[in-house]
Amino acid sequence: MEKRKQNAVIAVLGLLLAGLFLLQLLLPDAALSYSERRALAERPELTVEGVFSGDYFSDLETYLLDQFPFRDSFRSLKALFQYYVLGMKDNNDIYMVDGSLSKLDYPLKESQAQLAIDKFNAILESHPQIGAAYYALIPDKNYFLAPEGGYPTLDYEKLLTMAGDIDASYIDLLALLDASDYYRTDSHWRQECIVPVAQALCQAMGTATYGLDDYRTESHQGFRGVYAGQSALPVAGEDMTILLSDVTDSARVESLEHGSMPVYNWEDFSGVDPYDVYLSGAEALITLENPLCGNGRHLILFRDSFSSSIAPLLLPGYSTVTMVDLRYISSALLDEYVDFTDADVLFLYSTGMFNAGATLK
Amino acid sequence: MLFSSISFLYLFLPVLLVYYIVPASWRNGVLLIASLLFYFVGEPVYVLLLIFSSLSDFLHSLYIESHRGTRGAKIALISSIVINLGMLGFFKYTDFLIGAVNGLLGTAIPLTGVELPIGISFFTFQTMSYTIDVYRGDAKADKNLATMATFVCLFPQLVAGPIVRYVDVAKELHSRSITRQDLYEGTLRFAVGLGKKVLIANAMGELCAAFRAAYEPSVAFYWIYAVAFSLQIYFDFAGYSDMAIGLGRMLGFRFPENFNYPFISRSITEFWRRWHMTLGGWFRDYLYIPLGGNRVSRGRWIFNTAVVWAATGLWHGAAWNFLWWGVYFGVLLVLEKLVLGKALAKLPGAVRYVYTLPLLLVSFVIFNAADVQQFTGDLRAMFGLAGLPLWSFETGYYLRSYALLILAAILGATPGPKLCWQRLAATRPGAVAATVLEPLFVAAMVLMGTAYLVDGSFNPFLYFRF
Repeated sequence: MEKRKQNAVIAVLGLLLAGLFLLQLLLPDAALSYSERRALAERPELTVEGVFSGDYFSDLETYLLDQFPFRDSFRSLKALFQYYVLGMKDNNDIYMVDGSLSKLDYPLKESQAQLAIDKFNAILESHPQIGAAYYALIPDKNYFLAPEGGYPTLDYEKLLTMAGDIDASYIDLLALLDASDYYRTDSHWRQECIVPVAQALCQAMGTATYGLDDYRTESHQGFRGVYAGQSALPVAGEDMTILLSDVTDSARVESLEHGSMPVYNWEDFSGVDPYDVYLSGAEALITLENPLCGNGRHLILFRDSFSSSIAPLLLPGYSTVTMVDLRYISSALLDEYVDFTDADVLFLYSTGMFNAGATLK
Repeated sequence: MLFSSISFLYLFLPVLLVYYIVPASWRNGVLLIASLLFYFVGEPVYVLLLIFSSLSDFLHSLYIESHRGTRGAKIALISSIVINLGMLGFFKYTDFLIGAVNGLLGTAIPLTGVELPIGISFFTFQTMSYTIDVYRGDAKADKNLATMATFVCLFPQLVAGPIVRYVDVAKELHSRSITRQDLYEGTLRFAVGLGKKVLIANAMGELCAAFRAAYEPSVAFYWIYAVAFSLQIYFDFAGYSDMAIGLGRMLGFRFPENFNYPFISRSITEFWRRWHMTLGGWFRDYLYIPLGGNRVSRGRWIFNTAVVWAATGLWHGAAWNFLWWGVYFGVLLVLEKLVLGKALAKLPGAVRYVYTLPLLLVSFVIFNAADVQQFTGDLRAMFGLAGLPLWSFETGYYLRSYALLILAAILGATPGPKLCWQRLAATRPGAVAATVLEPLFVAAMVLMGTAYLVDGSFNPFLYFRF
């Protein structure tokens, strides 16, 4: 029995090391990690310079880590162990409350928030021809989940107080949302849940938009958001729904970088970021034309990724909606592409974006 | 190369299986090449230093042996020590000394910026002990350069110990057999070490990093940090030692033990009999006793102790906090010997733990500080002198998150789990269960370790910087 035990112990180590070594050699390399939404390292080039600088060996370690056999399964194993065996509260800063995943984002970086606020005020100051200016903050999921789960969060009260310095009218969205309005596996809100938000925004800006009954829906199953990949927990996918109407059917969408594009594109559902279904995701500048609206009103929407899903819902109230993502286009270039004359301006940003104010150009 | 890296586990070790296939007479050659490659990966240039060190001490020892009892042997010994300490001094202490001179005299001598070769503190001490042992007649000079170089470069203990002396492995260097028992015990030991390092030490390191980044520091968070870092450094270093001893065993060597549950010590004196035992033994045999040890006047003994503990502190790093760390222990050891020792012996064990543990926590706060300012600030905060609140929401969050792991680590730092397992395995049902549980344990440690590595966790080895 002792001999059998010893053989088994030795064999386990030998087989694991040799087996995974062979699999590593034999399995083809992957270019992308869909769960982590990033390109994976490629085999480093063997050069004399690289070897003697040590770069080759550090690159080789990165490559082996990225291309390790059953990489996603190993990541899940660690996540499960961390959550359910060690009882840790988060894994890679991702935590779960009531089956919904969120990412720790604290404390409030006041200097970053101030940069964002200063940027917005500078834009308003340099465009006196603007009709009316508004701002609204989209609470991230932590706003709802963290107090319930005992997690630290941003000081939202402080952020709201600071945002009061934006020289525009505030539209309060906090009371219109709760945790169920967001995807369980992603940071973003669900389009089918934010019609009241779109209505509140339009009402505050003196226009009107459709109610939920005015939309048709289309859904795809199996959406696994950014937090599902980052947490590495084996969470189930969920439905992603788009809201369609005569306005979205007839809208014309033009991207500064990519030209004409559809309002919704299900082909992106199987891409690295399925949320790109809405207005193709990250774009510097997009113009949505609504031929069904004859009021001639123009909304300039300064935005982050949350606006990709709400912009189509604001469109019934406007002839034109111009979406500007200051992470990808400098505010100094805006006058070349955007006419501010008599336009409504809305700064619609998630609270998390204020913690990264330096990314706004 | 780190033991807890994918390239070591799944590239280096599988290729090293060739070691078991080649004829026994080739094994030192395979081991030497593998060891040089192991070091080359981390230090592509400084590997020449390692080769030079091997060659230098090989030649010195031959000369010492052939001129035993003569002035020439003494000069050769001094030459060997000067070369070894010269290397260590140049690479490790030059900039520290320049900084000290600049600080004291207000000069602006530029720093050299020379990088510290990995493991230099370990391999210079090993080679020095070899020539000293040859000089003393405690070891025979090895006539085979490849064998001597294999001893110096032996990869399991090359970069972070245990500090293996030539006499410890001389017999095995020339003739060794590897039994199933060796492979079995080595495998278990390696798996235990991997688990200690990746599952506990790294997680404790993450807690320490979270503490340093805290936006709501509190007195309690400072104490949690002190506990977390003490556990991190213990499981990091003891885990590495376990892996080294396990690998050595699998390769046919028996390395000395380096740790013996230091946190169950009931005095600082006892702690140093249980912590980094090969370093303590080295300083005892090659510095403390040659200085006269304790068979001298009280004044001279205090001087000897001060020298040894200042050296122990500075061995860990060329920085003032390490010097203070060594001095701190030196003072405590003198106090225990002269004042506290008898009183401590009369106290119940629990009281002695209560005396020892806080002193150890303080020591590791000094140890881990970036500089003197940081450790004085940390100590002030621990003792409520920095105006911090006793508790904060963030403190509670991290304590809740790490509570189970901290408790498991504390339990793992005692002999309890091992004793329980040994008692269980000694029974008939336990022995039957062990045939399943031990292979499962090895698989769990390797797979969990791999999972943590693949997920890109925090993975430094603290003792590499020494």
